[in-house]
Amino acid sequence: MKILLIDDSKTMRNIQKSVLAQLGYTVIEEACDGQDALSKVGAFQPDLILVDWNMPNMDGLAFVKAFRAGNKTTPLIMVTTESEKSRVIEAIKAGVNNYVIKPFTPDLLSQRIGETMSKVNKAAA
Amino acid sequence: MSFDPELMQDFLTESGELLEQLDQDLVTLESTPSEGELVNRVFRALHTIKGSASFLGLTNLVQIAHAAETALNAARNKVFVIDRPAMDLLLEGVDTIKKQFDNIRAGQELLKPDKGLCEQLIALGDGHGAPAVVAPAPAVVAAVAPAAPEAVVGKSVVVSVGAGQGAGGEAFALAEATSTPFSLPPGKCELVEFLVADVEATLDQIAEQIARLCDDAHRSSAASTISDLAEALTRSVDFFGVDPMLELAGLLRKVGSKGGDLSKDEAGAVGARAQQAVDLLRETSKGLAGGQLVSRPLDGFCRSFIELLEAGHDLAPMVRAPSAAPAVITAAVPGAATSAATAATAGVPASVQGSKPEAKVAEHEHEKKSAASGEQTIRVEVGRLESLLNLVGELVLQKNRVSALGRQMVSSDWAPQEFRESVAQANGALDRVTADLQNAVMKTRMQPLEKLFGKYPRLIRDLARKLGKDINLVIEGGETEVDKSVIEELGDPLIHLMRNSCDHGIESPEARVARGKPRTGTIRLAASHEGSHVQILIIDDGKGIDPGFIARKALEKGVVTESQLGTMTDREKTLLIFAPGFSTAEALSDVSGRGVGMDVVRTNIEKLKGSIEIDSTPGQGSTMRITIPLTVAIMAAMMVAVGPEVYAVPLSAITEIVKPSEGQVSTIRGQKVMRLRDTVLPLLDGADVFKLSKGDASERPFAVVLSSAGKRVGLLVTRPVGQQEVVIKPLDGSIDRKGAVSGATVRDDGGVSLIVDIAKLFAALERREPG
Repeated sequence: MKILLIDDSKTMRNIQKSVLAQLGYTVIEEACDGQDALSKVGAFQPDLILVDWNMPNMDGLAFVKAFRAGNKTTPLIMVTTESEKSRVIEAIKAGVNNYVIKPFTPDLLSQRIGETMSKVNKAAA
Repeated sequence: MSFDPELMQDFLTESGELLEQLDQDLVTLESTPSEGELVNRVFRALHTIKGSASFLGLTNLVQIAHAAETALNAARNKVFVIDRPAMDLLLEGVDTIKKQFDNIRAGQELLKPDKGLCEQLIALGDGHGAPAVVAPAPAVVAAVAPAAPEAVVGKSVVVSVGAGQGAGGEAFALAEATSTPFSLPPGKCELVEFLVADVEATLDQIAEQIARLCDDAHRSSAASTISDLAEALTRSVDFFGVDPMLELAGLLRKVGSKGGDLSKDEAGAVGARAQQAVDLLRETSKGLAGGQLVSRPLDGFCRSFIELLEAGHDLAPMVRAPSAAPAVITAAVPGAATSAATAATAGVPASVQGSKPEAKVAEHEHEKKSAASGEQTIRVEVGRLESLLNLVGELVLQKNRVSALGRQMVSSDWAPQEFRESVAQANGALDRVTADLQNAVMKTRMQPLEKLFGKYPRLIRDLARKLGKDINLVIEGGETEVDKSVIEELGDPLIHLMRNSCDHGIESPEARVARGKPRTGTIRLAASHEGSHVQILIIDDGKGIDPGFIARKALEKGVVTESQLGTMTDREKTLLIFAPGFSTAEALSDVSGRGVGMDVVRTNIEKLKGSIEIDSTPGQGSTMRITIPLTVAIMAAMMVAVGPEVYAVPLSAITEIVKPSEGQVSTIRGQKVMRLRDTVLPLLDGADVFKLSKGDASERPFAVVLSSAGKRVGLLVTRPVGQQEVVIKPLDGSIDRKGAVSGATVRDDGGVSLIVDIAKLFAALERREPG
């Protein structure tokens, strides 16, 4: 499964990559903000996108809106913080399929990915 | 969770950079508290640090970062404006994080943040009890909803749902509602209250638009708004997996897609049913808030609704049974690439349809444009760059040697002419390529002075507050690049000079006003390239340096004698502050008197082969001018012979080379001096300086005129040899340093030369002078 990881912090990307690696996902493309991500989705064709909320240039929410204007199906998981929880609905309305609060354990992320993918697969079936 | 130690290193590097930027941004923010983008940037930096720290289990760090972030988030949402006390707290918070970073680097337990500080920061975030939350006003909805007056207002939902009778259409008679306890998985459960609030707000908006459906002028815009709102609603309820709501939201979406084509009468009927759907959604949403799933059998309602929508409109075939699964709804989303969806979209007003493909085109353009961007930098260990530079240094030495051999061969005649020409050409090319390579490697080590300057706004701010002065720091030319090693060595001297300007230069606000100056003093820190050198100016508009005062102090400290003072100009007196043992601080203040005098500043700068000068106008301010070479590893030098030895003199220190006539040289109080045009400068004999056998003084007829910090001296040498780029090799401690030398280099003829240390040379001169 190909995963696109969008976060402006290299440390965060590395942390998430290491969590994903523990879960057996190794085909990962990274983007440092929404614009960078938009430029990469076309070529990479991810099966799942993990997107951070707070980023310079184009934040996560703006990315989701822009991405969803052209792609309704690729699942998106918003990586967010406790303090942003109250805004998760906003992201869901914009088109994210699920969210996960930092810091997450591999188990939690695995669960969220599982949930998201099974729902998407069911919808596609 | 266990992580690679490399992650921690990444974290330190990345967050360390963020912290540095943070300090700077915060100080800027204090003067421009409403600068939105800056607040955002500061917030993001803390947010990023916190996010990573939370993964790495750095609880103490997360705690303080969270508190500061909370305060900044409130500032970002304009709950409060960052004033001085607030900024003090934020800076204190950042300082705590910095200390924790030091802890991490030292492998210590993390400093526990001050509880009071955290609480105060979080209190700031609470905006002192004035959060700017705007609640939606449902009253307005009721006022503008003539289509279904009885079924509109959300307050009496449960009653009106069953009995609703619209003015323009009949309400569907619904079955009884049943309530069952409803629970969501934990991740979703915690969001229910937000969901309910959001669904209700969306429903209010939809109700408003339903009212507008009956108005011919607004019908199509109302329909498209309903379509968008219903789509967002579908996503929310789909996420929570509340199927009855999903079905109703689907119906509303259909109202949106068909609404634009309805006649006035049809719109009335559809509007009434849509309102009923809204009320049903409200009923369910209310139930969710209380942990109950309120549901009614909806098959009939849905079927009749769809029939109503389809009646007389064969624009789209019926795509699903009323009890369709959510999957089908997804497929019917306008814009999805299915035939059903395409058909469904046909009902959407032209304006909306037209705009979608355009947006897509724009996006593609954007994709193309930014495809080439991405990360343009890589991190390289400093050690690798160091060794690269060393190698280039060796290469330059060998190149010099090869060039010299080549020149010898070209000027000899044992090789054929053609061959000699080729050698000369190859030599020239080698010269150019080596110079380019050297430049390129140098550039990799270049860093903008911004890296140093960035720390000063905070420094000046803190100093100004401590001293009770108003000081404005203006930084110019921060983008000027110098070698990494220069940046490292320059830090301390610059801090010292800035401190001096704050402490001794800028007057108190009262004194300034009394002298007719603006209350706020200004320190200008300006950097610029001057050829192969960088010039740094520190200009303050303070009280300037009083030569008389400096002279008295110098006399007191025994730095100069009375008779020496008698012959000194004001300028020379001012320069006494650079003399060793001179410090004007009355009491060792916390600010500038740290036992580091100006002589240390000068020594440090001269270590960098640089120089410092002072210009001062009493009452108006002073200017410190620092000139340093771009790099310290390779420098341009004049090779001079003293007897049998050849020395390298830094070209930057040489003002001219003269051959004084006998009449120009004389002796004053046992010291050799030289008259050069209208000035007199002391002479140093190269043989003395380098402790060589004296021989006859006439063997050294050339005087190399050197200048440092406004002083000049003539160094007597046998002859100038030529100019050369030299690679500085440090001297081993075991080598007895004969006189004023700072290092060694290999000449182009393969021999070794010592490099003259200008600073030590002048120190030797000063030692000689009083005696």
